[in-house]
Amino acid sequence: MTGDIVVEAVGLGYDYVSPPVCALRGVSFELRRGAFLAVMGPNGSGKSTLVRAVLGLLRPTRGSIRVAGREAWEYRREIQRIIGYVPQHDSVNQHLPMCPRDIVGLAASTRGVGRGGHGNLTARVNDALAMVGMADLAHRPFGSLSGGQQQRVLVARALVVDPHLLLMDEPFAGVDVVHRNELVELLAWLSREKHVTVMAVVHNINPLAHFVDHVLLLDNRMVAFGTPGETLTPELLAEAYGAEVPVLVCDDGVLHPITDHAADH
Amino acid sequence: MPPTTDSFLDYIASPYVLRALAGVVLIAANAGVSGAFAAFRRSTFLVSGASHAALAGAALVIVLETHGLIIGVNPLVGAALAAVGLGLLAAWASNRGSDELVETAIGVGFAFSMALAALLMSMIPEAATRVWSVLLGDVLLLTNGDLWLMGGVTLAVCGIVWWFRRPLLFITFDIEGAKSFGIRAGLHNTLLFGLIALSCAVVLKSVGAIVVYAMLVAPAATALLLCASVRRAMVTATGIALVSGLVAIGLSYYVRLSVGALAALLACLTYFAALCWRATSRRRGGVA
Ligand SMILES: Nc1ncnc2c1ncn2[C@@H]1O[C@H](COP(=O)(O)OP(=O)(O)OP(=O)(O)O)[C@@H](O)[C@H]1O
Ligand SMILES: [Mg+2]
Repeated sequence: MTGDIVVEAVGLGYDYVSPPVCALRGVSFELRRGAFLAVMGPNGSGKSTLVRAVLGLLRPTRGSIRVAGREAWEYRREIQRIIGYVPQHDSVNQHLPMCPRDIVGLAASTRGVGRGGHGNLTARVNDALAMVGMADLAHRPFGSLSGGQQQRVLVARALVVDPHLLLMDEPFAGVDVVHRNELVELLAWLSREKHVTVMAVVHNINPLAHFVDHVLLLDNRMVAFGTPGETLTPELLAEAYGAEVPVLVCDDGVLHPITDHAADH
Repeated sequence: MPPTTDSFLDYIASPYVLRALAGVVLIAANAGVSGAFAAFRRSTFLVSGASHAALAGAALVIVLETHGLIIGVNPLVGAALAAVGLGLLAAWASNRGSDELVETAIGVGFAFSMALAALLMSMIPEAATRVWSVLLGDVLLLTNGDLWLMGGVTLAVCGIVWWFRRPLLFITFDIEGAKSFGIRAGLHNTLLFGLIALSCAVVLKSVGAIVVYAMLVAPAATALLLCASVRRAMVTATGIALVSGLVAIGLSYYVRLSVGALAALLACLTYFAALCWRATSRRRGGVA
């Protein structure tokens, strides 16, 4: 059933050249179609680096990373066609006079959505914005939206291309509790019902703890990969974060590490 | 210099004023396209750097010509080559992903160009007045040859930006996201920097190196304060540059002033007015 494996990392490592930084070492894991993975680790632990490697934007300095059975770097043009990517939100330009519809529409037309019987572009853009609850603000200038609203626009931009793999770098940063829970439910629905493979970098796993299938703990190397029950233990968390991380067990028996905003849950 | 004894209409219909009008239209097109993208990208320092590099390029051509080493080369060609050179240097720095490096690369290129221009002027006093005229510029002194060159380059700049509008907008919004969409971000970034630099060379002889920044960036910055869509911002920037230029030419009938400086002044005043309008409407709780 190897055809079912969407992401496969084998001994993946990456070193930046200038300045020389060993960002990632010995990362090995597999994600099947429809799996939901949370990637966790302290600042600078290589989470964004891993995401870039999956996108084929970096050539691994060790090991390999395959997406849909192909080396991500060698086949980046092909694999990028099936990936929806939500960048870390502080990397986007606040000054470009574009509204959410323009931004999502630009992504859709770049990918050729709406051409050749793939359905109407405007309808697809509206659907994507509605999915993240941004339909009412579709015409507001992007720069005038709140951080959380901007984040949801970026999620809509990733969804408009109907991705098989959704890659998100801190998609909940700045998103309020209500909208965050809506987003989490959207992601859980995408992975369960639409069989979209979801990989999300998060600092606070608690809103997702009940939904994710796997957790990857990073600290410039792979500390652990497994189910939330296997990975969210005080020992492994201490290894990743280099400090004691208290863990609570909720009524459903799910582990909740207190890494960030514990009060949110 | 324009005679002031004719009627206003005779003045407008005179060849040099007609050429100036054509020049103003071309400047406005560059302001609406390259100026707007420079403002969107927040890389307006590139405009001041490239316009001074263009000055050095023009000075070099003038000096070589004075020495009889080359003949019949329009100084604008040298200006364009030097400006694009600086644009490519800045693009290289930008593609390495560091904004500080871009600032430094442009700053050093800027200083190098000015030093070179000053050196050339001190070496060859005969050429100095011609170099000065490029530093200060005069839209009323454009030749037909200048206009053909300016027109051709402007057409190319506008055409290329139109053709690549999607990837150029995408990298302007977010480079990482653009890469993930299979866009060759580095290549398009280099193209955009090159085009912006070319526009600086186009505008150079009409308004002078010192005020290229005002003519290209001020209209776009004003448009950014007023407009909520890319298309509207580009049209507005073109409009502001065009009106500033036309009003300046009209006024030049009544007062003998540098048309380029006057146009730049008007463009900047529009910017300040828009800033004040924004500030007061925000205080009133307005601004959509
Ligand atoms: N372009 C680069 N050149 C050199 N080093 C880099 C580069 N980008 C990241 N690094 C380094 O690589 C390491 C991993 O960075 P990365 O961005 O992957 O961390 P992260 O886990 O995403 O952190 P954060 O939680 O702050 O987003 C860090 O030490 C960082 O300083
Ligand atoms: Mg990161």
